[in-house]
Amino acid sequence: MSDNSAHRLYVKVTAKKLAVVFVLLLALIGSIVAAICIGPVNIPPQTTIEIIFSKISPFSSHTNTIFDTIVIDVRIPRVLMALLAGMCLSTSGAVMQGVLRNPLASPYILGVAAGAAFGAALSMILGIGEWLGVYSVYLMAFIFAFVAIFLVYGLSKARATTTETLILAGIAVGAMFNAFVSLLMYVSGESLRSLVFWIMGGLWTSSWGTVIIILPVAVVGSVLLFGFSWDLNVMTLGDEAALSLGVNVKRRKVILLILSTLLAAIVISATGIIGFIGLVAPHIARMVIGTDYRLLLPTASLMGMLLLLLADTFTRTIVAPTEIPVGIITTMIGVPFFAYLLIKSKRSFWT
Amino acid sequence: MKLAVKNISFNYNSVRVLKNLTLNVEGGEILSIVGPNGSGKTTLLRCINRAIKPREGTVLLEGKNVAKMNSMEIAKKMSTVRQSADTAFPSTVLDMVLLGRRPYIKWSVTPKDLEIVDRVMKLVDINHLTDRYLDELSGGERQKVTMARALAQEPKVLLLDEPTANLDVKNQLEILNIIKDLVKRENMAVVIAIHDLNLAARFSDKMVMLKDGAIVAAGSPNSVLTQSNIMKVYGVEVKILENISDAPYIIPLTLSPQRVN
Repeated sequence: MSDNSAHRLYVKVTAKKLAVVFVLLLALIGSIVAAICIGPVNIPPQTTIEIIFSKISPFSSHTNTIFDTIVIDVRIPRVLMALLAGMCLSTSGAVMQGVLRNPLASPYILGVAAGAAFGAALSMILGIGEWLGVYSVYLMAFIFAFVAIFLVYGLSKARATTTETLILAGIAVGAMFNAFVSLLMYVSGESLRSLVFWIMGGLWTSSWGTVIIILPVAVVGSVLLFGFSWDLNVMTLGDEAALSLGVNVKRRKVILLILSTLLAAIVISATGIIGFIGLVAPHIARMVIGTDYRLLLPTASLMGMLLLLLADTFTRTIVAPTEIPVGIITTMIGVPFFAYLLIKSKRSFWT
Repeated sequence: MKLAVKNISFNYNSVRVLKNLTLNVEGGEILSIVGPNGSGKTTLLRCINRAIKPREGTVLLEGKNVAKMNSMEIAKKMSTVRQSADTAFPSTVLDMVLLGRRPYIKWSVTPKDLEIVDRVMKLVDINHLTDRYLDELSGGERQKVTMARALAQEPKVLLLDEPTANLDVKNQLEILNIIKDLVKRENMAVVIAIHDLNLAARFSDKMVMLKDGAIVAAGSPNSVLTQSNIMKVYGVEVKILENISDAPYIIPLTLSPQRVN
């Protein structure tokens, strides 16, 4: 018996948690290779790895085939987009849940996703903000995502901020922006397919062009949020408890909400609204890893990437050569989970 | 002087909630603040720990003005225990107590942090609960977890807001005994806002009685808890028993026939 049982327990639990992260990482790498190989044209894993190495190494004797085009120009950008979207949405959700102290918070539930989609659609269809070039879509998405979250936060604060008022305000604001998007589509004579894209989300527009723009923002934003892990840990105790632990909540709250909204908006402007990943991934992560944001944020990111990649691979192969919008699948998985959280939100999961 | 509060006033919507309050607490001393609902007990604690900014007056923490300290500096010297510490997410006792080390932790948790966590958990007798989840614990156990978290900050001044509310008799005594032990051993200064006059009398060295944000009486429990003071502040007629223990024991009899203003 050591006389410092806290130390022993901490070391043991931390080792266990790191093992979980490692297993998750392996599962993700396996899924990435699988997702690149599987599709309307199946490519042997060996060929896939050969092609990837030939692009990295200058001394390759590899000769280009049709597989090269599929792997490099179609599958890899799509997989990368799924990974980026999964990472951003789940990081954003995990942070919003902590800052708002609300287990049901996520970009989708709080109407942020709908706001971003409206901003992006506005820019694409009406050409508002065109002078900003390629970035106009992203910037408009961010601005309206921002409008949405402050509308929701303000509305819920007008009365006492409870779980219910925040969620109700989110649903109201989300429904309003969704209606705006639909209106925009009908008035401008867009096809139903593009409406479906915005409302239900899809990764079929992924290209190296969008990946290159989103990647740096996603990585920098996620790393910055990761740096706030300890503050997030303390903020889940409430404003005054956090203050007496040395964390000035008011300023942090604004920074964290801006960053998490930015992450969600930049993804949604490229993929449309992919619901529930930002809610489900952080919770599954919390079940397996606990509440410490230093481990929770990386785990939630891995979980979000894995879930979205699997869901996307499923949607593009199950009814090939057409595909189902991935948002339909994530929502179908997410809604029962949401109901479960609503009922059991105060129970502990992990023993 | 560990804690000195000088001429604190606070307004809420142009109503004066605290009126020119002054009090001092030395190391090893427990000061309890008593008074009816809405008399300003919690507001006073919130002014002391800078949750709100007093309109006038200063709070000196070991001689330093808290208005000139940043929140991390304050958190290393002063901690607060509130009622009902609720978290949004299920967390273990160890994780919760470890949060008390937040003012000291840069990123990694050091063996020293865990040593302190272990020590404070033993102090409040929850070291057998380390790996349990908070929502599996009783109210008394949860209050001890909150206390342990506050103690992990290694405070010189400890503020407690109704630490015994919603606890049964055994837990009330246990919590207050722990505080009393600690104060002497660690030479801390403790301020407790508390409703129960008998518990306050029994466990505090000094008392302050508030009414409508002003001090009506201050001093030893014996000098503060008199029939006339209680009549003046609460409007209740009481009988005071002197020979139960060394502290006075109050038995409420009737509401005063005239309303006291």
